[in-house]
Amino acid sequence: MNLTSCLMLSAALFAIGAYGLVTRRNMIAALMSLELMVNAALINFVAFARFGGGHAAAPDPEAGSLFALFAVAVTAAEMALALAIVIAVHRQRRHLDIRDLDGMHG
Amino acid sequence: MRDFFFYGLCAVLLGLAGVTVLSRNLFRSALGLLGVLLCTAVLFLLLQAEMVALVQVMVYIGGIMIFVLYAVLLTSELGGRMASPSPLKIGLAVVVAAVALGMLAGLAKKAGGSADRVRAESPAGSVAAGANIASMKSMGERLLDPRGFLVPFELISVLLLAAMVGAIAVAREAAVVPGAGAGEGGGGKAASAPGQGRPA
Repeated sequence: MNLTSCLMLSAALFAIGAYGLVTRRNMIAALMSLELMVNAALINFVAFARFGGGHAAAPDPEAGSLFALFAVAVTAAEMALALAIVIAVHRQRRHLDIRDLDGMHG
Repeated sequence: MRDFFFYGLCAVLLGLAGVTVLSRNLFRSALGLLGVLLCTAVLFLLLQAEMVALVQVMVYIGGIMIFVLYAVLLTSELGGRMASPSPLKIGLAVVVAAVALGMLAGLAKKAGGSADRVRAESPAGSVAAGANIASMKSMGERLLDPRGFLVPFELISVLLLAAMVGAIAVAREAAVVPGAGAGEGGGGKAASAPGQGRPA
């Protein structure tokens, strides 16, 4: 277990999330794919905090972990808003197909 | 032993991520995402970031996932199956995912390789043995230190409050577009046939 294997894992997770984000048509499913990608980013933060970047002169593990915590908080805010929008859209249209949400298309 | 556990965990995590992305049943894919988040928390424990692992379990699994499951149950029937994507879409998605994977893996090799070399060359014990581990106490002190992370910590609480208020405002029943004819209760039956983009 070293930095490279952790980064490889997060790259694979990110790619899976990107695949889902493109193929999914249901709004909630797309959000879940987005969540996978955010999770990949979190793994990166924690892995760099643990193993240090290239020049490990002054490693700062607290800052790395705290950065991950802030990212979690921002994601929580984002998901709360996104799911509120999901519920509002479902109430108005009775479906969640992303392709039909073109009300701002002009 | 530790490496073996790590690679097993990676395999489970990626498999569950595949379930999340590929399952045609929305509820099942939500459960897959739950498993991914749990595996990530275990991975954080392996990386000796206990605090992040705890927050992951509490915020992601206890908060966000419950919210996602509620949204799934509210908006779709349990046994419902989503339509499978068209072959064109799948091809496009494979290309996007392959490009992302290629770029990220190249970067990972570069950054990870040099960092791992530095670690391997540094005298044993200086970096490896525990100087690089954030204890919960030091993290808490850092978080509430005015010269540390106090300002972002307070700002993020304001952000969360604003997001919460905004979420309630967006999801509230009465917040339907005025003029759409959706009063209380009947919202969405006649007034919101699919495709009827905006009120006349």
